[in-house]
Amino acid sequence: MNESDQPQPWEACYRELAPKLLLFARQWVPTSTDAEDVVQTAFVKFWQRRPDAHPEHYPLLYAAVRTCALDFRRSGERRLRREANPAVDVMREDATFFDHGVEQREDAALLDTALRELPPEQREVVVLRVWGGLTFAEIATALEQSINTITSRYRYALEALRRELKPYTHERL
Amino acid sequence: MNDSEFENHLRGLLQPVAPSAELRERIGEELASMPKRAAAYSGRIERPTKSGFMHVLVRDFGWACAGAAAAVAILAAWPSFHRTPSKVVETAQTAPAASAPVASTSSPTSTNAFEHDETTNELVSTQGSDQLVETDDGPAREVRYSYLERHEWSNPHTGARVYLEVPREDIYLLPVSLQ
Repeated sequence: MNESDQPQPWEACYRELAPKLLLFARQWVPTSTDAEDVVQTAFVKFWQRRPDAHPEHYPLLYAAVRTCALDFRRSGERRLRREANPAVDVMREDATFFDHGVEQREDAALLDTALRELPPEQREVVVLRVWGGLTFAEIATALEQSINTITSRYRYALEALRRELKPYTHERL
Repeated sequence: MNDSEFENHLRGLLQPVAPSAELRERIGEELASMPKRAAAYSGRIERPTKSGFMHVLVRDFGWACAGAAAAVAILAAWPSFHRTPSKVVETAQTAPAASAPVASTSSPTSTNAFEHDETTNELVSTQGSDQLVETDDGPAREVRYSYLERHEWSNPHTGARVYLEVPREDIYLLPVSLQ
Protein backbone atom coordinates (compact mmCIF):
# COMPACT_ATOMS: atom_id res chain seq x y z
CA MET A 1 0.00 0.00 0.00
CA ASN A 2 1.27 3.42 -0.91
CA GLU A 3 2.18 5.61 2.07
CA SER A 4 -0.21 8.30 0.91
CA ASP A 5 -3.09 5.79 0.94
CA GLN A 6 -2.57 4.93 4.58
CA PRO A 7 -4.75 6.86 7.00
CA GLN A 8 -2.78 9.58 8.73
CA PRO A 9 -2.91 9.78 12.53
CA TRP A 10 -4.73 13.10 12.38
CA GLU A 11 -7.58 11.66 10.33
CA ALA A 12 -9.01 9.57 13.16
CA CYS A 13 -8.91 12.63 15.35
CA TYR A 14 -10.59 14.70 12.66
CA ARG A 15 -13.37 12.15 12.14
CA GLU A 16 -14.07 12.03 15.84
CA LEU A 17 -13.76 15.68 16.73
CA ALA A 18 -14.45 17.84 13.68
CA PRO A 19 -18.18 18.49 14.32
CA LYS A 20 -17.52 19.10 18.00
CA LEU A 21 -14.66 21.47 17.32
CA LEU A 22 -16.77 23.27 14.78
CA LEU A 23 -19.58 23.72 17.28
CA PHE A 24 -17.11 24.88 19.91
CA ALA A 25 -15.56 27.45 17.54
CA ARG A 26 -18.97 28.56 16.35
CA GLN A 27 -19.67 30.21 19.70
CA TRP A 28 -17.21 33.00 19.03
CA VAL A 29 -17.32 33.52 15.31
CA PRO A 30 -20.30 34.73 13.31
CA THR A 31 -20.48 32.19 10.53
CA SER A 32 -19.94 28.48 10.00
CA THR A 33 -17.38 29.31 7.33
CA ASP A 34 -15.40 31.31 9.85
CA ALA A 35 -15.68 28.43 12.29
CA GLU A 36 -14.21 26.09 9.70
CA ASP A 37 -11.31 28.49 9.14
CA VAL A 38 -10.69 28.59 12.86
CA VAL A 39 -10.84 24.81 13.19
CA GLN A 40 -8.48 24.43 10.25
CA THR A 41 -5.93 26.83 11.70
CA ALA A 42 -6.08 25.30 15.17
CA PHE A 43 -6.06 21.73 13.91
CA VAL A 44 -3.03 22.25 11.71
CA LYS A 45 -1.13 24.08 14.45
CA PHE A 46 -1.95 21.38 16.95
CA TRP A 47 -0.87 18.50 14.73
CA GLN A 48 2.25 20.28 13.69
CA ARG A 49 3.32 20.67 17.26
CA ARG A 50 2.04 17.31 18.41
CA PRO A 51 2.41 14.86 15.55
CA ASP A 52 2.23 12.04 18.11
CA ALA A 53 -0.92 13.32 19.81
CA HIS A 54 -3.15 10.88 21.67
CA PRO A 55 -6.75 11.26 22.82
CA GLU A 56 -5.60 12.48 26.21
CA HIS A 57 -4.12 15.48 24.40
CA TYR A 58 -7.39 16.37 22.71
CA PRO A 59 -8.48 18.88 25.37
CA LEU A 60 -5.49 20.94 24.22
CA LEU A 61 -6.95 20.89 20.74
CA TYR A 62 -10.08 22.50 22.12
CA ALA A 63 -7.84 25.05 23.83
CA ALA A 64 -6.17 25.74 20.49
CA VAL A 65 -9.54 26.21 18.81
CA ARG A 66 -10.59 28.62 21.52
CA THR A 67 -7.41 30.67 21.18
CA CYS A 68 -7.68 30.79 17.40
CA ALA A 69 -11.36 31.71 17.57
CA LEU A 70 -10.68 34.58 19.96
CA ASP A 71 -7.81 35.78 17.76
CA PHE A 72 -10.04 35.55 14.75
CA ARG A 73 -12.73 37.51 16.47
CA ARG A 74 -10.25 40.19 17.45
CA SER A 75 -8.73 40.63 14.08
CA GLY A 76 -11.82 40.15 11.92
CA GLU A 77 -9.62 40.48 8.87
CA ARG A 78 -10.53 37.27 7.17
CA ARG A 79 -14.19 37.85 7.76
CA LEU A 80 -14.03 41.24 6.12
CA ARG A 81 -12.14 39.69 3.21
CA ARG A 82 -14.73 36.99 2.75
CA GLU A 83 -17.65 39.37 2.97
CA ALA A 84 -16.05 41.44 0.26
CA ASN A 85 -16.14 38.37 -1.98
CA PRO A 86 -19.72 37.90 -3.23
CA ALA A 87 -18.94 34.41 -4.50
CA VAL A 88 -18.71 33.05 -0.99
CA ASP A 89 -21.88 32.39 0.93
CA VAL A 90 -21.89 34.21 4.23
CA MET A 91 -24.30 33.14 6.91
CA ARG A 92 -25.86 35.83 9.02
CA GLU A 93 -24.75 36.29 12.59
CA ASP A 94 -27.94 34.78 13.91
CA ALA A 95 -27.36 31.55 12.01
CA THR A 96 -27.77 28.42 14.08
CA PHE A 97 -24.99 26.64 15.95
CA PHE A 98 -26.60 23.30 15.25
CA ASP A 99 -27.87 21.13 12.47
CA HIS A 100 -30.69 22.81 10.56
CA GLY A 101 -32.72 19.70 9.89
CA VAL A 102 -32.98 18.75 13.50
CA GLU A 103 -33.50 22.28 14.66
CA GLN A 104 -36.80 22.61 12.87
CA ARG A 105 -38.44 21.09 15.90
CA GLU A 106 -39.80 23.55 18.36
CA ASP A 107 -38.02 22.09 21.34
CA ALA A 108 -34.67 22.10 19.57
CA ALA A 109 -35.14 25.72 18.59
CA LEU A 110 -35.98 26.52 22.18
CA LEU A 111 -32.77 24.88 23.36
CA ASP A 112 -30.73 26.65 20.70
CA THR A 113 -32.12 29.99 21.86
CA ALA A 114 -31.56 29.12 25.51
CA LEU A 115 -27.94 28.24 24.76
CA ARG A 116 -27.37 31.56 23.06
CA GLU A 117 -28.69 33.39 26.07
CA LEU A 118 -26.25 31.72 28.44
CA PRO A 119 -23.20 33.72 29.48
CA PRO A 120 -20.32 32.70 27.17
CA GLU A 121 -18.26 31.19 29.96
CA GLN A 122 -21.17 28.94 30.94
CA ARG A 123 -22.11 28.09 27.38
CA GLU A 124 -18.65 26.89 26.45
CA VAL A 125 -18.63 24.52 29.42
CA VAL A 126 -22.03 23.08 28.49
CA VAL A 127 -21.01 22.66 24.86
CA LEU A 128 -17.80 20.90 25.80
CA ARG A 129 -19.52 18.67 28.32
CA VAL A 130 -22.74 17.75 26.53
CA TRP A 131 -21.76 17.81 22.88
CA GLY A 132 -17.98 17.55 23.20
CA GLY A 133 -18.16 14.66 25.64
CA LEU A 134 -15.29 15.97 27.74
CA THR A 135 -14.90 15.30 31.43
CA PHE A 136 -14.77 18.19 33.87
CA ALA A 137 -11.02 17.66 34.27
CA GLU A 138 -10.53 17.83 30.51
CA ILE A 139 -12.67 20.95 30.28
CA ALA A 140 -10.62 22.52 33.06
CA THR A 141 -7.48 21.78 31.03
CA ALA A 142 -8.94 23.14 27.84
CA LEU A 143 -10.19 26.36 29.43
CA GLU A 144 -7.30 26.77 31.89
CA GLN A 145 -9.64 27.02 34.85
CA SER A 146 -10.01 25.05 38.05
CA ILE A 147 -12.36 22.09 38.15
CA ASN A 148 -14.41 23.83 40.83
CA THR A 149 -14.94 26.81 38.55
CA ILE A 150 -15.92 24.54 35.69
CA THR A 151 -18.40 22.51 37.75
CA SER A 152 -19.97 25.68 39.14
CA ARG A 153 -20.40 27.16 35.70
CA TYR A 154 -21.85 23.90 34.48
CA ARG A 155 -24.32 23.74 37.34
CA TYR A 156 -25.49 27.30 36.76
CA ALA A 157 -25.82 26.67 33.03
CA LEU A 158 -27.77 23.48 33.51
CA GLU A 159 -30.13 25.19 35.90
CA ALA A 160 -30.73 27.96 33.39
CA LEU A 161 -31.41 25.46 30.62
CA ARG A 162 -33.77 23.50 32.85
CA ARG A 163 -35.70 26.69 33.56
CA GLU A 164 -35.95 27.54 29.87
CA LEU A 165 -36.95 24.04 28.82
CA LYS A 166 -39.20 23.33 31.76
CA PRO A 167 -42.50 23.76 29.92
CA TYR A 168 -41.39 21.36 27.25
CA THR A 169 -39.89 18.71 29.53
CA HIS A 170 -42.98 18.74 31.75
CA GLU A 171 -45.13 18.23 28.75
CA ARG A 172 -43.04 15.36 27.43
CA LEU A 173 -42.16 13.50 30.63
CA MET B 1 -34.69 14.17 35.70
CA ASN B 2 -31.12 13.99 37.01
CA ASP B 3 -28.14 15.69 35.38
CA SER B 4 -27.14 12.70 33.31
CA GLU B 5 -30.64 12.21 31.93
CA PHE B 6 -30.91 15.90 31.23
CA GLU B 7 -27.58 15.83 29.35
CA ASN B 8 -28.83 12.95 27.22
CA HIS B 9 -32.02 14.86 26.62
CA LEU B 10 -30.07 17.91 25.42
CA ARG B 11 -27.82 15.74 23.29
CA GLY B 12 -30.85 14.19 21.65
CA LEU B 13 -32.43 17.53 20.90
CA LEU B 14 -29.56 19.07 18.97
CA GLN B 15 -26.66 17.74 16.98
CA PRO B 16 -23.60 19.69 15.84
CA VAL B 17 -23.43 20.75 12.23
CA ALA B 18 -21.22 18.44 10.18
CA PRO B 19 -18.16 20.12 8.66
CA SER B 20 -18.04 20.70 4.94
CA ALA B 21 -16.33 18.11 2.80
CA GLU B 22 -13.66 20.61 1.84
CA LEU B 23 -12.47 21.16 5.37
CA ARG B 24 -10.86 17.75 5.65
CA GLU B 25 -9.11 18.22 2.31
CA ARG B 26 -7.88 21.66 3.28
CA ILE B 27 -6.46 20.39 6.54
CA GLY B 28 -4.85 17.41 4.81
CA GLU B 29 -3.25 19.61 2.19
CA GLU B 30 -1.98 22.10 4.72
CA LEU B 31 -0.52 19.43 6.96
CA ALA B 32 1.13 17.74 4.01
CA SER B 33 2.61 20.95 2.67
CA MET B 34 4.11 22.16 5.92
CA PRO B 35 7.44 20.91 7.17
CA LYS B 36 7.24 18.89 10.33
CA ARG B 37 8.41 20.77 13.35
CA ALA B 38 10.56 19.19 15.98
CA ALA B 39 8.57 17.58 18.75
CA ALA B 40 10.87 19.31 21.17
CA TYR B 41 8.84 22.45 20.66
CA SER B 42 5.86 20.96 22.40
CA GLY B 43 5.40 21.87 25.99
CA ARG B 44 7.91 24.67 26.02
CA ILE B 45 7.01 28.15 27.09
CA GLU B 46 9.57 30.63 25.93
CA ARG B 47 9.96 34.24 26.79
CA PRO B 48 9.39 36.47 23.80
CA THR B 49 12.59 37.66 22.21
CA LYS B 50 11.35 40.55 20.14
CA SER B 51 8.51 42.69 21.36
CA GLY B 52 8.07 42.81 25.05
CA PHE B 53 11.59 41.76 25.90
CA MET B 54 13.07 45.26 25.78
CA HIS B 55 10.10 46.55 27.70
CA VAL B 56 10.62 43.97 30.43
CA LEU B 57 14.38 44.54 30.43
CA VAL B 58 14.08 48.30 30.79
CA ARG B 59 11.53 48.01 33.55
CA ASP B 60 13.54 45.39 35.46
CA PHE B 61 16.67 47.45 35.04
CA GLY B 62 14.79 50.43 36.46
CA TRP B 63 13.78 48.48 39.51
CA ALA B 64 17.30 47.18 39.97
CA CYS B 65 18.69 50.70 39.70
CA ALA B 66 16.19 51.97 42.25
CA GLY B 67 17.20 49.25 44.68
CA ALA B 68 20.87 49.84 44.10
CA ALA B 69 20.43 53.60 44.57
CA ALA B 70 18.66 53.04 47.86
CA ALA B 71 21.41 50.72 49.04
CA VAL B 72 24.11 53.18 48.02
CA ALA B 73 22.30 56.02 49.77
CA ILE B 74 22.20 54.08 53.01
CA LEU B 75 25.80 53.00 52.77
CA ALA B 76 26.85 56.56 51.96
CA ALA B 77 25.09 57.77 55.08
CA TRP B 78 26.96 55.23 57.18
CA PRO B 79 29.99 57.40 58.12
CA SER B 80 27.72 59.94 59.83
CA PHE B 81 26.64 57.21 62.20
CA HIS B 82 30.25 56.49 63.14
CA ARG B 83 30.70 60.10 64.24
CA THR B 84 27.89 59.88 66.77
CA PRO B 85 28.81 60.84 70.35
CA SER B 86 30.05 58.16 72.67
CA LYS B 87 26.93 58.22 74.82
CA VAL B 88 24.94 57.05 71.84
CA VAL B 89 27.36 54.21 71.48
CA GLU B 90 26.76 53.26 75.08
CA THR B 91 23.03 53.30 74.59
CA ALA B 92 23.36 51.00 71.68
CA GLN B 93 25.54 48.67 73.66
CA THR B 94 22.96 48.35 76.37
CA ALA B 95 20.24 47.68 73.86
CA PRO B 96 21.79 45.70 71.05
CA ALA B 97 18.47 44.39 69.88
CA ALA B 98 17.12 47.83 69.03
CA SER B 99 15.74 47.92 65.53
CA ALA B 100 17.23 51.34 64.68
CA PRO B 101 20.30 50.96 62.53
CA VAL B 102 22.83 52.34 65.00
CA ALA B 103 26.45 51.71 64.17
CA SER B 104 28.12 51.06 67.46
CA THR B 105 30.91 48.97 68.82
CA SER B 106 32.99 48.53 71.92
CA SER B 107 36.20 49.01 70.05
CA PRO B 108 36.93 52.08 67.96
CA THR B 109 38.96 50.01 65.54
CA SER B 110 36.05 47.80 64.65
CA THR B 111 33.34 50.43 64.09
CA ASN B 112 33.35 49.66 60.40
CA ALA B 113 32.77 46.00 60.98
CA PHE B 114 29.33 45.78 59.46
CA GLU B 115 29.19 42.59 57.50
CA HIS B 116 26.82 41.64 54.82
CA ASP B 117 24.77 38.74 56.09
CA GLU B 118 22.47 37.73 53.34
CA THR B 119 20.33 38.77 50.42
CA THR B 120 17.05 37.06 49.88
CA ASN B 121 14.61 37.36 47.06
CA GLU B 122 11.18 36.20 48.08
CA LEU B 123 8.40 35.62 45.57
CA VAL B 124 5.39 37.23 47.17
CA SER B 125 2.73 36.66 44.57
CA THR B 126 2.06 35.82 40.97
CA GLN B 127 -0.85 37.16 39.07
CA GLY B 128 -1.85 36.03 35.61
CA SER B 129 -4.01 38.13 33.38
CA ASP B 130 -6.87 36.68 31.38
CA GLN B 131 -6.26 39.19 28.63
CA LEU B 132 -4.17 38.11 25.66
CA VAL B 133 -1.64 40.56 24.33
CA GLU B 134 -0.68 40.63 20.69
CA THR B 135 3.07 40.48 20.15
CA ASP B 136 5.24 39.88 17.12
CA ASP B 137 5.60 36.30 18.28
CA GLY B 138 1.87 35.74 18.50
CA PRO B 139 -0.59 36.02 21.36
CA ALA B 140 0.87 36.14 24.83
CA ARG B 141 -0.48 36.25 28.32
CA GLU B 142 0.77 38.73 30.91
CA VAL B 143 1.98 37.21 34.17
CA ARG B 144 3.06 39.49 37.02
CA TYR B 145 5.61 38.28 39.59
CA SER B 146 6.03 40.34 42.76
CA TYR B 147 9.23 39.88 44.72
CA LEU B 148 10.59 41.32 47.95
CA GLU B 149 14.36 41.66 47.95
CA ARG B 150 15.89 41.85 51.39
CA HIS B 151 19.52 42.80 52.04
CA GLU B 152 20.82 42.44 55.56
CA TRP B 153 23.99 43.62 57.31
CA SER B 154 25.02 43.15 60.93
CA ASN B 155 27.74 44.22 63.26
CA PRO B 156 28.96 41.13 65.11
CA HIS B 157 30.39 43.21 67.96
CA THR B 158 27.29 45.16 68.85
CA GLY B 159 24.57 43.01 67.37
CA ALA B 160 23.23 45.96 65.42
CA ARG B 161 21.48 44.96 62.27
CA VAL B 162 20.55 46.90 59.20
CA TYR B 163 18.25 45.64 56.55
CA LEU B 164 16.87 47.00 53.35
CA GLU B 165 13.75 45.73 51.66
CA VAL B 166 13.13 46.51 48.02
CA PRO B 167 9.87 45.54 46.35
CA ARG B 168 10.28 44.36 42.81
CA GLU B 169 7.81 43.45 40.14
CA ASP B 170 8.53 41.53 36.95
CA ILE B 171 6.00 41.21 34.20
CA TYR B 172 6.54 38.42 31.73
CA LEU B 173 4.72 37.92 28.48
CA LEU B 174 4.27 34.19 28.13
CA PRO B 175 3.32 32.99 24.66
CA VAL B 176 0.09 31.09 24.59
CA SER B 177 1.25 27.58 23.91
CA LEU B 178 -0.58 24.49 22.80
CA GLN B 179 1.82 22.42 24.92
